[in-house]
Amino acid sequence: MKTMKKLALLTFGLPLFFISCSSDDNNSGGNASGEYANGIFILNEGKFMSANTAEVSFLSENGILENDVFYGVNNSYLGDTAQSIGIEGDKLYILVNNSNTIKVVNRYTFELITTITTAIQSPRYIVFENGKGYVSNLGNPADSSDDYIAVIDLSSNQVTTTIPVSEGPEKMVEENGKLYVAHKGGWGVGNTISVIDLSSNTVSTTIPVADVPDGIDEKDGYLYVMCSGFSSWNSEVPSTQGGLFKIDMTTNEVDSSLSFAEGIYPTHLEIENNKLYYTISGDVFAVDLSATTLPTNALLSLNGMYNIYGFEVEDGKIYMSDPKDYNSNGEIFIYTTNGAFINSYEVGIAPNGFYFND
Amino acid sequence: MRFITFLFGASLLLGQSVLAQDNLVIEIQEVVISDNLLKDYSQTQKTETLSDSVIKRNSSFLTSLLNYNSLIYFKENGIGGASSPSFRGTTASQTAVIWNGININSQTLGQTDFNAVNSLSFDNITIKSGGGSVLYGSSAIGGSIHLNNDLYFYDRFENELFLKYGNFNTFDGRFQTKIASNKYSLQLGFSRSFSDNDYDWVGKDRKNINGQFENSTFNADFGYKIDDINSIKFYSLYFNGERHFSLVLPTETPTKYHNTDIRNLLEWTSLIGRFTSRAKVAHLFEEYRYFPHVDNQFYTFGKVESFIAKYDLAYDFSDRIKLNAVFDYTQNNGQGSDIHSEKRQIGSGSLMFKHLLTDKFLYEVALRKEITNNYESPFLYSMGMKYEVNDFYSVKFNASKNFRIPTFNDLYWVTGGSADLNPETSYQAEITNEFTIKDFGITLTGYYNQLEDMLRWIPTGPMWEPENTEEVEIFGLEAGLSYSKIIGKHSINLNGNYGYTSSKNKKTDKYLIYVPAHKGNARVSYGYQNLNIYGEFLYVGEVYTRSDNNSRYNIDAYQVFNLGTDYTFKTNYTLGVKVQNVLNTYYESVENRALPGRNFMMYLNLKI
Repeated sequence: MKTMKKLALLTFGLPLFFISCSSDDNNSGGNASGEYANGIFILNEGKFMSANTAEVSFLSENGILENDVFYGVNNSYLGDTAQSIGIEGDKLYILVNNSNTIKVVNRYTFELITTITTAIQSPRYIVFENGKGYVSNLGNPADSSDDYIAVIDLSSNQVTTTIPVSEGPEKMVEENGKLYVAHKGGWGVGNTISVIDLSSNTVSTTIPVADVPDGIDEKDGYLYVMCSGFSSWNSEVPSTQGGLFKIDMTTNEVDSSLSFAEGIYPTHLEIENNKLYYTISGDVFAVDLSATTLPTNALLSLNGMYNIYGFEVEDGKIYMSDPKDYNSNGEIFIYTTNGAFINSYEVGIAPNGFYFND
Repeated sequence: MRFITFLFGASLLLGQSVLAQDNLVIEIQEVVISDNLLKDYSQTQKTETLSDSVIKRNSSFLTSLLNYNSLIYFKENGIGGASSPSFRGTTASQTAVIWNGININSQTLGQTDFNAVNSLSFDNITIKSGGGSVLYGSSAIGGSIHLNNDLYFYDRFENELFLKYGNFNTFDGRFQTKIASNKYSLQLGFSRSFSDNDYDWVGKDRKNINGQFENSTFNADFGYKIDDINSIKFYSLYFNGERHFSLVLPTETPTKYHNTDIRNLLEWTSLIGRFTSRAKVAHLFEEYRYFPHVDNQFYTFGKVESFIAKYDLAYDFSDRIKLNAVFDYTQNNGQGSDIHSEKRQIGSGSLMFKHLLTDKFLYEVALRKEITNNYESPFLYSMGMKYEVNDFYSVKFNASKNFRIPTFNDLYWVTGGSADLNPETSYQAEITNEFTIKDFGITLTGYYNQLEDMLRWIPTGPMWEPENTEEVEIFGLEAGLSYSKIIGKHSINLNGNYGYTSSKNKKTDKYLIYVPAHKGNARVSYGYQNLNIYGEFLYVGEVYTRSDNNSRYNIDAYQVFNLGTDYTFKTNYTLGVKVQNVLNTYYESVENRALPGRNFMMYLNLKI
């Protein structure tokens, strides 16, 4: 999404290439009576600079897919470019990046409760702790020094304070009163993890990693960070190597790291059953948490896919999404963690994440 | 003198109505344009010229003018927003815009934003349908738009002031002065447009937010006849505009876009016996600045400086046979926040040949080859013929190979730009039938266009990269009807167009998005003495917005009516009013980019 957005903005500064559309009369026929208690939400990012293509799909535990859930229930659109979802209590929070909003819905009925707009600018991800939601925001795109974490009081759905951080905060992990924030870099290239002390809401430590930390997860006191590396086509600016970092969360020091070969740009990171899963283009790799070398063979390959856009591993299953050309319906694939195909479904435009409601 | 007659012929061909002088001395009212190829080698294709009065009745943006007066489809992000054309089912960068004979499509984007050109700054605008890469280079695939300034060589001193004001605080103004004798010609003009552009969305509880724009254009054109053999011409234009981009949703971050164009063209023409020699040098400067937040000084930018040297030598074997050899050298220096600083050099040579075999039959052949180290450039050609079968029927045929070269962004974008690209190529053929029956004119055109090596940015892992992957097949039909009649003090004029377009990606078997199958427009005007009443009509069929042709997301077809009237006092000043979108229809050409409902404007044109 980021690259695409940049491309769109900068190539023309204008939406000539990525403009979207539909007509107001052609409303979707979602199932408004649906119950969403048990199943998986798939977030469809939609087209950048389009007000009506971001949507949520729901795959029930019986394997029945419903698209356009948000419109079906609420008779309104999510907004422009849905980035991610967070679930806490009986609520589900949908971060709509280009609209600078967060839609709060009931996680079981999907009815809209409220829309948070104040102090939200270019929201990326949300995590929860102690009655609060922490939202990474890129802020004003024209200002590389105004990025922040917004703190939302979940009872009032208001931003109560903001914590300034360095450029490009994205995914986060909360552990023991500390918030670990991966700085992918926003419009630049980031290569750090900020550690925020939530008792004082200040950055206490900054941990250097490799360029573009894309995936982040925690297990048994260690933070695992997958850095994609920077892919440059400019002969004057060198490309950098990707790396997998293991950080001791008691000392906030890098415990060990593994480097990827030049020209390989790994993305995503999920930990399940003491195994770490990540992707490279259309390939999925799995490695033991204790391994000291990276695997050479893929666990499974989705041939012809440029980019596994959304990726999740849960309860012995791998969930992946193919955004195709970002201008037509995407597809999701479900495999076992042994690499066996289970099923695939056609969803909305640019599916970018899976969220389990159980 | 050959030169004079040939220039006079040019004025007729261009449909330029030269003002009658009050004195009774019959003089040759010579009008010169710089785009000589448009006159000499565009007779086997469809061309239409829009006059000054048609230009003034429309909004100052090229989008609106061409929307109502041609079959070109526009994807317009609200009034004043980014606007890209689809000419005969092609993509946005496959329409060339030609300023006084020079291709001015952006080197970074490969296209012209039709809402970043103020149409009031030109004396006439010609729409040429079909391939023209041999004559005009890259992008002339769907067709080309020619923005021309005329130089007059006869005694003349004329000042003209045009003012237009309408809803949403929309202003268009132009002042120009023309001073000429049979020896020299000077034209100076200044245009200014601005608007709050905060119109309500018809039937919705919303406004156009952050849509304001302003722009200024200054042009100076000069011609001087040194002697019977030599003359020089100089054309100069400065454009500076700022547009805010209207928001898709009210909570979004407001952005704006600033662009500057500076163009200078110097031409030296010599007539030596049967030879006509034209040496041209041009300097073009283009820059855009994109502000991701309106209140912040930070911007990203791209700018390209181009130097063009062109030499065109024409030889008239006889009155019926003409040969031109054109050599062209272009150097582009591009830099920007997101592209590598690069210098690109392109040389080309072309030959054009025209032969009037009989009074009723002519044919043209043209060839072009470029040399550059940036990409593999194909050999281009064009051939056509025109046959006047009888008084009421004539037929034109043209076939050509055309191209669109990769842009600076395609080649040098820092994350993904790929130096390993080829130009897009097009093979096309068209046939136009023209019927003239009494006061009616009817044209019927069929065309076929095969596009290969279409460039597309596709995601390759974390990056997007351009590739020459797509193939597109286009065919279409165009029908035009015109009627013109004067009975005593009454006059009536009718002009209508309809186009059917099928543009399909051969790989996916899906239609291209934002290309309507149907488009039509019409203008009707009725005049009684000095009073004119006119109507305009536009129909745009539904378009796909998704590459999988999921019709649920189509943009609906729409139709818009405008009505206007003006009155000319004492032959030198005209006062008019116009109502646009009379029926107050909600319509949009891009999703969530509503276009305005009913709105009013009034205008005054003063000639002193």
